[in-house]
Amino acid sequence: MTENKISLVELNSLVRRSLESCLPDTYWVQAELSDVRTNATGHCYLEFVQKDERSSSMLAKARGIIWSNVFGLIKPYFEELTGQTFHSGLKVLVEVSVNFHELYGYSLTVHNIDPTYTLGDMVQQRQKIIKQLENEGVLTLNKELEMPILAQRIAVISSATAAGYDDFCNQLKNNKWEIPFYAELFPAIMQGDQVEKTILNALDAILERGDDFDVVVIIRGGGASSDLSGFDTYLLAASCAQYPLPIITGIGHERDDTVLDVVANTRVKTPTAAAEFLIDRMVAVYGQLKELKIRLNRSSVRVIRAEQQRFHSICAQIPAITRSVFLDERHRLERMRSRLKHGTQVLLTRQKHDLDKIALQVKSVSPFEILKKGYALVISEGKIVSSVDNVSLKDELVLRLGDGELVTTVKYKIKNHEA
Amino acid sequence: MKHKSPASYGTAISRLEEIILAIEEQNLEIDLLATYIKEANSLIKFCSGKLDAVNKEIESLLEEETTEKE
Repeated sequence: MTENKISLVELNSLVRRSLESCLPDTYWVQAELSDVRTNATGHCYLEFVQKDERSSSMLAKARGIIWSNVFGLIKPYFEELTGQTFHSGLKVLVEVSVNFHELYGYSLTVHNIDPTYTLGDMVQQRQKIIKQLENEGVLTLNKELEMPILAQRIAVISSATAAGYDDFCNQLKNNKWEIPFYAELFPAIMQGDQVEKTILNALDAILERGDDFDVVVIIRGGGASSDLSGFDTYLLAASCAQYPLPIITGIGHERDDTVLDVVANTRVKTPTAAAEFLIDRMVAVYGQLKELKIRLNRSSVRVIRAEQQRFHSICAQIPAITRSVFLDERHRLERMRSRLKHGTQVLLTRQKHDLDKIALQVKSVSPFEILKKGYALVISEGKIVSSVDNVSLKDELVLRLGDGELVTTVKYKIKNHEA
Repeated sequence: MKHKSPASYGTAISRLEEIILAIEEQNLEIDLLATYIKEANSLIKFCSGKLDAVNKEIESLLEEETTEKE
Protein backbone atom coordinates (compact mmCIF):
# COMPACT_ATOMS: atom_id res chain seq x y z
CA MET A 1 0.00 0.00 0.00
CA THR A 2 2.84 2.40 0.61
CA GLU A 3 4.41 1.59 -2.71
CA ASN A 4 2.96 4.49 -4.70
CA LYS A 5 3.90 7.23 -2.27
CA ILE A 6 4.66 10.65 -3.67
CA SER A 7 5.70 13.91 -2.09
CA LEU A 8 3.29 16.70 -1.49
CA VAL A 9 5.01 18.81 -4.04
CA GLU A 10 4.59 16.02 -6.54
CA LEU A 11 0.91 15.70 -5.70
CA ASN A 12 0.31 19.37 -5.98
CA SER A 13 2.23 19.38 -9.20
CA LEU A 14 -0.05 16.70 -10.54
CA VAL A 15 -3.05 18.76 -9.57
CA ARG A 16 -1.54 21.78 -11.23
CA ARG A 17 -0.80 20.02 -14.46
CA SER A 18 -4.27 18.49 -14.60
CA LEU A 19 -5.85 21.80 -14.01
CA GLU A 20 -3.69 23.39 -16.65
CA SER A 21 -4.66 20.82 -19.21
CA CYS A 22 -8.33 20.54 -18.30
CA LEU A 23 -9.05 24.18 -17.83
CA PRO A 24 -6.62 25.98 -20.07
CA ASP A 25 -9.01 28.67 -21.18
CA THR A 26 -10.12 31.89 -19.63
CA TYR A 27 -13.56 32.10 -18.20
CA TRP A 28 -15.88 35.02 -17.65
CA VAL A 29 -17.14 34.59 -14.14
CA GLN A 30 -19.60 36.54 -11.98
CA ALA A 31 -18.56 36.97 -8.39
CA GLU A 32 -18.55 39.37 -5.50
CA LEU A 33 -15.37 41.14 -4.43
CA SER A 34 -14.18 40.61 -0.95
CA ASP A 35 -11.02 41.71 0.84
CA VAL A 36 -9.48 43.83 -1.93
CA ARG A 37 -5.88 44.83 -1.21
CA THR A 38 -3.27 46.61 -3.24
CA ASN A 39 0.35 46.86 -2.25
CA ALA A 40 3.33 48.97 -3.20
CA THR A 41 4.15 46.81 -6.13
CA GLY A 42 0.84 47.71 -7.74
CA HIS A 43 -0.51 44.19 -7.70
CA CYS A 44 -4.02 43.65 -6.46
CA TYR A 45 -4.76 40.74 -4.19
CA LEU A 46 -8.37 39.91 -3.55
CA GLU A 47 -10.90 37.32 -2.77
CA PHE A 48 -13.89 36.35 -4.83
CA VAL A 49 -16.98 35.04 -3.07
CA GLN A 50 -20.40 33.88 -3.92
CA LYS A 51 -23.12 34.19 -1.33
CA ASP A 52 -26.53 32.65 -1.28
CA GLU A 53 -29.09 35.27 -2.40
CA ARG A 54 -31.36 34.96 0.58
CA SER A 55 -29.39 33.54 3.43
CA SER A 56 -26.12 35.32 2.59
CA SER A 57 -24.27 32.22 3.55
CA MET A 58 -21.08 31.55 1.64
CA LEU A 59 -21.39 29.20 -1.26
CA ALA A 60 -18.04 29.51 -2.98
CA LYS A 61 -14.76 31.26 -2.52
CA ALA A 62 -11.55 31.76 -4.47
CA ARG A 63 -8.48 33.88 -4.10
CA GLY A 64 -7.66 36.16 -6.95
CA ILE A 65 -4.78 38.22 -8.23
CA ILE A 66 -4.55 41.07 -10.69
CA TRP A 67 -0.96 41.76 -11.76
CA SER A 68 0.06 45.37 -11.69
CA ASN A 69 0.31 45.76 -15.46
CA VAL A 70 -3.26 44.51 -15.87
CA PHE A 71 -4.55 46.28 -12.79
CA GLY A 72 -3.01 49.51 -13.95
CA LEU A 73 -5.22 49.33 -17.02
CA ILE A 74 -8.48 47.93 -15.74
CA LYS A 75 -8.68 49.89 -12.52
CA PRO A 76 -9.08 53.34 -14.13
CA TYR A 77 -11.22 51.87 -16.87
CA PHE A 78 -13.53 50.25 -14.33
CA GLU A 79 -13.69 53.29 -12.08
CA GLU A 80 -14.44 55.62 -14.91
CA LEU A 81 -17.27 53.57 -16.25
CA THR A 82 -18.88 52.75 -12.95
CA GLY A 83 -18.00 55.87 -10.99
CA GLN A 84 -16.93 53.58 -8.21
CA THR A 85 -13.58 52.56 -6.84
CA PHE A 86 -12.67 48.94 -7.15
CA HIS A 87 -13.62 47.79 -3.67
CA SER A 88 -15.06 44.97 -1.67
CA GLY A 89 -18.71 44.34 -1.90
CA LEU A 90 -19.03 45.02 -5.58
CA LYS A 91 -20.40 42.42 -7.92
CA VAL A 92 -18.12 42.03 -10.92
CA LEU A 93 -17.80 40.14 -14.16
CA VAL A 94 -14.16 39.20 -14.72
CA GLU A 95 -12.24 37.19 -17.19
CA VAL A 96 -10.03 34.79 -15.28
CA SER A 97 -7.73 31.91 -15.79
CA VAL A 98 -7.47 29.17 -13.27
CA ASN A 99 -4.22 28.53 -11.45
CA PHE A 100 -2.96 26.07 -9.02
CA HIS A 101 0.35 26.53 -7.28
CA GLU A 102 2.00 23.85 -5.25
CA LEU A 103 2.61 26.23 -2.43
CA TYR A 104 -0.03 28.88 -2.74
CA GLY A 105 -2.87 26.66 -3.87
CA TYR A 106 -5.87 27.56 -5.98
CA SER A 107 -6.21 31.02 -7.34
CA LEU A 108 -7.69 32.91 -10.22
CA THR A 109 -5.73 35.37 -12.31
CA VAL A 110 -7.75 38.26 -13.62
CA HIS A 111 -7.15 39.39 -17.17
CA ASN A 112 -10.12 41.56 -17.91
CA ILE A 113 -13.27 43.02 -16.46
CA ASP A 114 -16.66 44.05 -17.81
CA PRO A 115 -17.74 47.10 -15.86
CA THR A 116 -21.17 47.15 -17.44
CA TYR A 117 -22.07 44.10 -15.42
CA THR A 118 -21.16 45.92 -12.22
CA LEU A 119 -23.04 48.93 -13.43
CA GLY A 120 -26.04 46.83 -14.20
CA ASP A 121 -25.86 45.30 -10.79
CA MET A 122 -25.56 48.70 -9.17
CA VAL A 123 -28.57 49.90 -11.07
CA GLN A 124 -30.44 46.82 -10.04
CA GLN A 125 -29.58 47.35 -6.39
CA ARG A 126 -30.69 50.91 -6.64
CA GLN A 127 -33.96 49.96 -8.25
CA LYS A 128 -34.57 47.46 -5.46
CA ILE A 129 -34.13 50.12 -2.82
CA ILE A 130 -36.27 52.59 -4.72
CA LYS A 131 -39.01 50.02 -5.14
CA GLN A 132 -38.94 49.21 -1.47
CA LEU A 133 -39.20 52.88 -0.51
CA GLU A 134 -42.06 53.28 -2.94
CA ASN A 135 -43.94 50.39 -1.43
CA GLU A 136 -43.49 51.89 2.00
CA GLY A 137 -44.94 55.14 0.67
CA VAL A 138 -41.93 57.23 1.67
CA LEU A 139 -40.16 57.60 -1.65
CA THR A 140 -41.43 61.07 -2.51
CA LEU A 141 -41.88 62.54 0.96
CA ASN A 142 -38.84 64.81 0.92
CA LYS A 143 -39.58 65.85 -2.65
CA GLU A 144 -43.07 66.88 -1.58
CA LEU A 145 -41.73 69.18 1.11
CA GLU A 146 -42.10 72.80 0.15
CA MET A 147 -38.81 74.58 0.31
CA PRO A 148 -39.29 77.67 2.46
CA ILE A 149 -39.43 80.96 0.59
CA LEU A 150 -36.50 82.25 2.60
CA ALA A 151 -33.91 79.49 2.51
CA GLN A 152 -31.01 81.29 4.07
CA ARG A 153 -29.97 79.16 7.03
CA ILE A 154 -28.23 76.14 5.61
CA ALA A 155 -27.00 73.00 7.33
CA VAL A 156 -24.19 71.60 5.21
CA ILE A 157 -23.21 67.95 5.38
CA SER A 158 -19.81 67.56 3.82
CA SER A 159 -16.26 66.70 4.49
CA ALA A 160 -14.39 69.58 6.14
CA THR A 161 -11.39 68.95 3.99
CA ALA A 162 -13.22 68.56 0.72
CA ALA A 163 -12.84 71.37 -1.80
CA GLY A 164 -16.58 71.37 -2.38
CA TYR A 165 -17.44 72.84 1.00
CA ASP A 166 -15.08 75.79 0.71
CA ASP A 167 -16.30 76.66 -2.76
CA PHE A 168 -19.88 76.44 -1.62
CA CYS A 169 -19.34 78.74 1.33
CA ASN A 170 -17.38 81.28 -0.67
CA GLN A 171 -20.04 81.47 -3.31
CA LEU A 172 -22.73 82.12 -0.72
CA LYS A 173 -20.68 84.66 1.19
CA ASN A 174 -19.58 86.62 -1.85
CA ASN A 175 -22.75 86.58 -3.94
CA LYS A 176 -23.00 89.74 -5.96
CA TRP A 177 -26.38 90.80 -4.59
CA GLU A 178 -24.99 90.75 -1.02
CA ILE A 179 -27.80 88.48 0.06
CA PRO A 180 -27.00 87.17 3.54
CA PHE A 181 -26.70 83.42 4.12
CA TYR A 182 -25.71 81.45 7.16
CA ALA A 183 -24.09 78.07 6.55
CA GLU A 184 -22.91 75.65 9.22
CA LEU A 185 -20.93 72.50 8.62
CA PHE A 186 -21.91 69.13 10.01
CA PRO A 187 -18.92 67.02 9.02
CA ALA A 188 -19.27 63.54 7.60
CA ILE A 189 -17.14 61.15 5.63
CA MET A 190 -18.16 61.35 2.02
CA GLN A 191 -16.66 58.16 0.62
CA GLY A 192 -16.02 54.61 1.61
CA ASP A 193 -18.06 52.57 3.99
CA GLN A 194 -18.48 55.26 6.67
CA VAL A 195 -20.77 57.35 4.47
CA GLU A 196 -24.05 55.99 5.76
CA LYS A 197 -23.17 56.16 9.43
CA THR A 198 -21.60 59.62 9.43
CA ILE A 199 -24.29 61.22 7.29
CA LEU A 200 -27.02 59.76 9.47
CA ASN A 201 -25.25 61.13 12.53
CA ALA A 202 -24.99 64.53 10.90
CA LEU A 203 -28.71 64.47 10.05
CA ASP A 204 -29.53 63.68 13.68
CA ALA A 205 -27.28 66.47 14.91
CA ILE A 206 -29.08 68.92 12.63
CA LEU A 207 -32.47 67.84 13.94
CA GLU A 208 -31.32 68.37 17.49
CA ARG A 209 -30.83 72.04 16.70
CA GLY A 210 -34.56 72.37 16.29
CA ASP A 211 -35.58 75.36 14.20
CA ASP A 212 -32.12 76.65 13.39
CA PHE A 213 -32.08 75.70 9.74
CA ASP A 214 -34.22 76.07 6.62
CA VAL A 215 -32.61 73.45 4.42
CA VAL A 216 -29.97 70.70 4.40
CA VAL A 217 -27.33 70.54 1.70
CA ILE A 218 -25.27 67.39 1.18
CA ILE A 219 -22.27 68.14 -0.99
CA ARG A 220 -18.91 66.79 -1.96
CA GLY A 221 -16.45 67.66 -4.67
CA GLY A 222 -16.35 65.41 -7.67
CA GLY A 223 -13.19 63.39 -8.03
CA ALA A 224 -11.93 61.06 -10.61
CA SER A 225 -12.30 58.15 -8.32
CA SER A 226 -15.59 59.00 -6.83
CA ASP A 227 -16.79 56.18 -4.70
CA LEU A 228 -20.49 56.72 -4.51
CA SER A 229 -21.56 53.28 -3.40
CA GLY A 230 -21.96 54.56 0.14
CA PHE A 231 -24.83 56.76 -1.00
CA ASP A 232 -26.82 53.86 -2.32
CA THR A 233 -27.92 52.32 0.94
CA TYR A 234 -31.49 51.73 1.96
CA LEU A 235 -31.09 53.17 5.45
CA LEU A 236 -29.62 56.44 4.22
CA ALA A 237 -32.25 56.82 1.55
CA ALA A 238 -35.10 56.00 3.90
CA SER A 239 -33.87 58.49 6.49
CA CYS A 240 -33.46 61.23 3.93
CA ALA A 241 -36.81 60.54 2.31
CA GLN A 242 -38.57 61.00 5.64
CA TYR A 243 -36.42 63.88 6.82
CA PRO A 244 -38.44 66.91 7.91
CA LEU A 245 -36.23 69.47 6.18
CA PRO A 246 -35.81 69.64 2.41
CA ILE A 247 -32.51 68.07 1.33
CA ILE A 248 -30.44 69.30 -1.59
CA THR A 249 -27.80 66.91 -2.93
CA GLY A 250 -24.80 68.07 -4.91
CA ILE A 251 -22.56 65.07 -4.75
CA GLY A 252 -20.58 66.17 -7.74
CA HIS A 253 -20.93 63.69 -10.51
CA GLU A 254 -22.41 63.48 -13.95
CA ARG A 255 -23.67 59.94 -13.78
CA ASP A 256 -26.98 58.35 -12.95
CA ASP A 257 -28.45 59.48 -9.71
CA THR A 258 -27.72 57.58 -6.57
CA VAL A 259 -30.69 56.58 -4.45
CA LEU A 260 -29.92 59.55 -2.26
CA ASP A 261 -30.29 61.82 -5.27
CA VAL A 262 -33.59 60.16 -6.11
CA VAL A 263 -35.17 60.80 -2.70
CA ALA A 264 -33.72 64.24 -2.13
CA ASN A 265 -35.95 67.27 -2.55
CA THR A 266 -33.63 68.86 -5.09
CA ARG A 267 -30.70 67.38 -6.90
CA VAL A 268 -27.91 69.42 -8.46
CA LYS A 269 -24.70 68.31 -10.05
CA THR A 270 -22.09 70.11 -8.01
CA PRO A 271 -21.62 72.10 -4.81
CA THR A 272 -21.33 75.22 -6.99
CA ALA A 273 -24.68 74.44 -8.55
CA ALA A 274 -26.16 74.03 -5.07
CA ALA A 275 -24.95 77.48 -4.06
CA GLU A 276 -26.31 78.93 -7.31
CA PHE A 277 -29.65 77.29 -6.71
CA LEU A 278 -29.98 78.85 -3.27
CA ILE A 279 -28.81 82.26 -4.44
CA ASP A 280 -31.18 82.26 -7.41
CA ARG A 281 -34.13 81.48 -5.15
CA MET A 282 -33.36 84.46 -2.96
CA VAL A 283 -32.87 86.72 -5.96
CA ALA A 284 -36.33 85.72 -7.14
CA VAL A 285 -37.77 86.57 -3.71
CA TYR A 286 -36.16 90.00 -3.75
CA GLY A 287 -37.45 90.48 -7.28
CA GLN A 288 -40.97 89.61 -6.20
CA LEU A 289 -40.81 92.08 -3.34
CA LYS A 290 -39.59 94.80 -5.64
CA GLU A 291 -42.43 94.13 -8.02
CA LEU A 292 -45.00 94.19 -5.27
CA LYS A 293 -43.60 97.52 -4.13
CA ILE A 294 -43.98 98.96 -7.62
CA ARG A 295 -47.52 97.66 -7.95
CA LEU A 296 -48.46 99.05 -4.55
CA ASN A 297 -47.02 102.38 -5.51
CA ARG A 298 -48.89 102.47 -8.81
CA SER A 299 -52.22 101.47 -7.33
CA SER A 300 -51.92 104.01 -4.55
CA VAL A 301 -51.14 106.76 -7.03
CA ARG A 302 -54.08 105.69 -9.16
CA VAL A 303 -56.48 105.71 -6.23
CA ILE A 304 -55.29 109.10 -5.05
CA ARG A 305 -55.54 110.61 -8.53
CA ALA A 306 -59.06 109.30 -9.01
CA GLU A 307 -60.09 110.80 -5.71
CA GLN A 308 -58.50 114.11 -6.59
CA GLN A 309 -60.43 114.21 -9.82
CA ARG A 310 -63.65 113.41 -8.08
CA PHE A 311 -63.01 116.16 -5.58
CA HIS A 312 -62.24 118.69 -8.29
CA SER A 313 -65.33 117.90 -10.29
CA ILE A 314 -67.47 118.29 -7.18
CA CYS A 315 -65.85 121.61 -6.41
CA ALA A 316 -66.34 122.77 -9.97
CA GLN A 317 -70.04 122.09 -9.70
CA ILE A 318 -70.56 124.28 -6.63
CA PRO A 319 -70.86 127.67 -8.38
CA ALA A 320 -73.29 126.33 -10.97
CA ILE A 321 -75.45 124.64 -8.40
CA THR A 322 -75.48 127.66 -6.14
CA ARG A 323 -76.54 129.96 -8.96
CA SER A 324 -79.29 127.67 -10.10
CA VAL A 325 -80.63 127.54 -6.55
CA PHE A 326 -80.76 131.30 -6.59
CA LEU A 327 -82.52 131.48 -9.89
CA ASP A 328 -85.09 129.01 -8.69
CA GLU A 329 -85.74 131.05 -5.61
CA ARG A 330 -86.06 134.29 -7.55
CA HIS A 331 -88.53 132.67 -9.88
CA ARG A 332 -90.48 131.46 -6.96
CA LEU A 333 -90.67 134.92 -5.52
CA GLU A 334 -91.76 136.28 -8.89
CA ARG A 335 -94.46 133.71 -9.18
CA MET A 336 -95.68 134.63 -5.73
CA ARG A 337 -95.80 138.27 -6.67
CA SER A 338 -97.92 137.59 -9.72
CA ARG A 339 -100.13 135.22 -7.76
CA LEU A 340 -100.67 137.94 -5.23
CA LYS A 341 -101.56 140.44 -7.88
CA HIS A 342 -103.74 138.07 -9.81
CA GLY A 343 -105.40 136.66 -6.72
CA THR A 344 -106.23 140.13 -5.41
CA GLN A 345 -107.63 141.21 -8.75
CA VAL A 346 -109.81 138.16 -8.99
CA LEU A 347 -111.04 138.64 -5.47
CA LEU A 348 -111.96 142.27 -6.02
CA THR A 349 -113.55 141.64 -9.40
CA ARG A 350 -115.65 138.89 -7.91
CA GLN A 351 -116.74 141.06 -5.05
CA LYS A 352 -117.62 143.87 -7.43
CA HIS A 353 -119.54 141.46 -9.61
CA ASP A 354 -121.51 140.16 -6.62
CA LEU A 355 -122.14 143.70 -5.52
CA ASP A 356 -123.38 144.66 -8.99
CA LYS A 357 -125.77 141.76 -8.99
CA ILE A 358 -127.22 142.83 -5.69
CA ALA A 359 -127.51 146.41 -6.86
CA LEU A 360 -129.40 145.25 -9.88
CA GLN A 361 -131.75 143.23 -7.75
CA VAL A 362 -132.22 146.10 -5.41
CA LYS A 363 -132.91 148.32 -8.31
CA SER A 364 -135.45 146.00 -9.82
CA VAL A 365 -137.58 145.88 -6.66
CA SER A 366 -137.18 149.54 -5.93
CA PRO A 367 -140.51 151.48 -6.29
CA PHE A 368 -138.72 154.46 -7.78
CA GLU A 369 -138.32 152.69 -11.10
CA ILE A 370 -141.99 151.94 -11.16
CA LEU A 371 -142.84 155.50 -10.30
CA LYS A 372 -140.66 156.67 -13.23
CA LYS A 373 -142.87 154.68 -15.51
CA GLY A 374 -145.90 156.88 -14.66
CA TYR A 375 -147.24 155.00 -11.74
CA ALA A 376 -148.16 156.96 -8.58
CA LEU A 377 -148.46 156.07 -4.95
CA VAL A 378 -151.90 157.00 -3.66
CA ILE A 379 -151.83 158.14 -0.07
CA SER A 380 -154.88 159.04 2.05
CA GLU A 381 -154.43 160.39 5.51
CA GLY A 382 -150.87 159.21 5.55
CA LYS A 383 -151.59 155.64 4.49
CA ILE A 384 -151.12 154.04 1.09
CA VAL A 385 -154.40 153.30 -0.64
CA SER A 386 -154.46 150.14 -2.71
CA SER A 387 -158.20 149.65 -3.24
CA VAL A 388 -161.09 151.89 -4.51
CA ASP A 389 -163.22 150.59 -1.75
CA ASN A 390 -161.20 152.45 0.82
CA VAL A 391 -161.88 155.80 -0.86
CA SER A 392 -165.06 157.90 -0.74
CA LEU A 393 -166.16 160.70 -3.01
CA LYS A 394 -164.86 164.17 -2.19
CA ASP A 395 -161.86 162.61 -0.21
CA GLU A 396 -158.55 164.40 -0.47
CA LEU A 397 -155.87 162.16 -1.95
CA VAL A 398 -152.10 162.73 -2.19
CA LEU A 399 -150.56 161.37 -5.40
CA ARG A 400 -146.87 160.75 -4.94
CA LEU A 401 -145.00 160.71 -8.24
CA GLY A 402 -141.33 160.09 -8.84
CA ASP A 403 -140.42 163.70 -8.72
CA GLY A 404 -143.09 165.22 -6.35
CA GLU A 405 -146.64 165.11 -5.02
CA LEU A 406 -150.09 166.08 -6.27
CA VAL A 407 -153.09 166.79 -4.02
CA THR A 408 -156.42 165.79 -5.68
CA THR A 409 -160.08 165.30 -4.82
CA VAL A 410 -162.06 162.23 -5.83
CA LYS A 411 -164.69 163.17 -8.39
CA TYR A 412 -166.17 159.84 -8.96
CA LYS A 413 -165.02 156.18 -8.67
CA ILE A 414 -165.34 153.08 -10.84
CA LYS A 415 -164.70 149.57 -9.55
CA ASN A 416 -163.34 146.83 -11.85
CA HIS A 417 -165.55 143.87 -12.21
CA GLU A 418 -163.69 140.57 -12.24
CA ALA A 419 -164.35 138.51 -15.23
CA MET B 1 -99.47 149.10 10.38
CA LYS B 2 -95.81 148.40 10.82
CA HIS B 3 -94.74 144.74 10.82
CA LYS B 4 -91.58 143.73 12.62
CA SER B 5 -88.90 142.16 10.37
CA PRO B 6 -89.53 138.46 9.62
CA ALA B 7 -87.20 136.08 11.44
CA SER B 8 -85.83 134.58 8.26
CA TYR B 9 -86.28 134.18 4.56
CA GLY B 10 -87.99 130.87 5.26
CA THR B 11 -90.59 132.25 7.63
CA ALA B 12 -91.25 135.21 5.30
CA ILE B 13 -91.88 132.94 2.35
CA SER B 14 -94.18 130.76 4.41
CA ARG B 15 -96.28 133.74 5.56
CA LEU B 16 -96.41 135.02 1.99
CA GLU B 17 -97.68 131.67 0.80
CA GLU B 18 -100.30 131.73 3.53
CA ILE B 19 -101.62 135.18 2.47
CA ILE B 20 -101.71 134.31 -1.20
CA LEU B 21 -103.56 131.08 -0.58
CA ALA B 22 -106.14 132.91 1.52
CA ILE B 23 -106.76 135.38 -1.29
CA GLU B 24 -106.91 132.69 -3.95
CA GLU B 25 -109.36 130.65 -1.96
CA GLN B 26 -111.40 133.84 -1.41
CA ASN B 27 -111.15 133.32 2.31
CA LEU B 28 -110.39 136.88 3.05
CA GLU B 29 -112.57 139.61 4.43
CA ILE B 30 -112.62 142.63 2.18
CA ASP B 31 -111.87 144.99 5.08
CA LEU B 32 -108.67 143.21 5.81
CA LEU B 33 -107.65 142.96 2.14
CA ALA B 34 -105.69 146.21 2.14
CA THR B 35 -103.87 145.23 5.35
CA TYR B 36 -102.87 141.90 3.99
CA ILE B 37 -101.70 143.30 0.70
CA LYS B 38 -99.55 145.75 2.61
CA GLU B 39 -98.05 142.90 4.62
CA ALA B 40 -97.49 140.78 1.49
CA ASN B 41 -95.70 143.63 -0.22
CA SER B 42 -93.40 144.15 2.70
CA LEU B 43 -92.63 140.41 2.80
CA ILE B 44 -91.83 140.38 -0.90
CA LYS B 45 -89.54 143.31 -0.42
CA PHE B 46 -87.79 141.58 2.42
CA CYS B 47 -87.31 138.31 0.52
CA SER B 48 -86.10 140.02 -2.59
CA GLY B 49 -83.64 142.04 -0.57
CA LYS B 50 -82.40 138.92 1.18
CA LEU B 51 -81.87 137.12 -2.09
CA ASP B 52 -79.88 139.99 -3.45
CA ALA B 53 -77.68 140.25 -0.37
CA VAL B 54 -76.93 136.52 -0.19
CA ASN B 55 -76.34 136.36 -3.92
CA LYS B 56 -73.80 139.13 -3.70
CA GLU B 57 -72.01 137.47 -0.81
CA ILE B 58 -71.88 134.08 -2.52
CA GLU B 59 -70.62 135.52 -5.76
CA SER B 60 -67.76 137.21 -3.98
CA LEU B 61 -66.94 134.01 -2.06
CA LEU B 62 -66.87 131.98 -5.24
CA GLU B 63 -64.74 134.62 -6.88
CA GLU B 64 -62.32 134.34 -3.95
CA GLU B 65 -62.19 130.59 -4.33
CA THR B 66 -61.29 130.66 -8.00
CA THR B 67 -58.73 133.46 -7.61
CA GLU B 68 -57.12 131.50 -4.79
CA LYS B 69 -56.78 128.54 -7.08
CA GLU B 70 -55.15 130.65 -9.73
